[in-house]
Amino acid sequence: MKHYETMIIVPPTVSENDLDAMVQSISEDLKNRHGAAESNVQKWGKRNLAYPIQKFTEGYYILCDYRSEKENTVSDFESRLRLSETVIRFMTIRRDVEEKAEERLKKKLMKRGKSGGSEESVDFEGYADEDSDLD
Amino acid sequence: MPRKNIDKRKKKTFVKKENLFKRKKYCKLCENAIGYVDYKDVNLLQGFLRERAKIVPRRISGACAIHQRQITNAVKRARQIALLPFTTD
Repeated sequence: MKHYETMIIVPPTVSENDLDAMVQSISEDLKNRHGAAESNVQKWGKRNLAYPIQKFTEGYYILCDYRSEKENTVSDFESRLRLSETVIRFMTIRRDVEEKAEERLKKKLMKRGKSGGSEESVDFEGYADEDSDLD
Repeated sequence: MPRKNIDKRKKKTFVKKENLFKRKKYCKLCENAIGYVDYKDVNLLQGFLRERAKIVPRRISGACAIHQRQITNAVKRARQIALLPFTTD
């Protein structure tokens, strides 16, 4: 099961009601049309954009969290977003790969914290060697 | 082999100078045991940006290699989705 996360920016000209309807339809379509097993679509609120996109300086962010086993879920979903006029920008990332990496790194950091304390956490390659040279 | 020795000598003098007035740098993310830098965490990422929204290099931020990579990836993602600027004018 692959875990994806898609962030969508909607222009501020869209009304609150339309936005809610959009969130609803996205979460339903993800499950029914695009074949996602679980989906969690949330509004992330209105934010000022760091730079103007299509001359809009603010936008509503929508965060879609979904899992799927099908291969074409993301491509289907993205092509739908591309066609939609109320989406000015979107980005999809794979979360499951990162979750694994996160666990591994956390384990490593915990181990290090137990054995050596703060001194050990300075894992700067070659740094330790330099110090020993000084003595 | 001779090359290695030269390198060592160079390092030594550099470190000695450095120690006179600089504290040892450490990775703040390792310290807090952060396993994953999220692109949505704008406040955290802004700490690793310069005034002109450039990514602070490792030699200055002191971040370890793993975390620096995570930071750069997260910043680049945040830029794509307009959470962070590419540059400030």
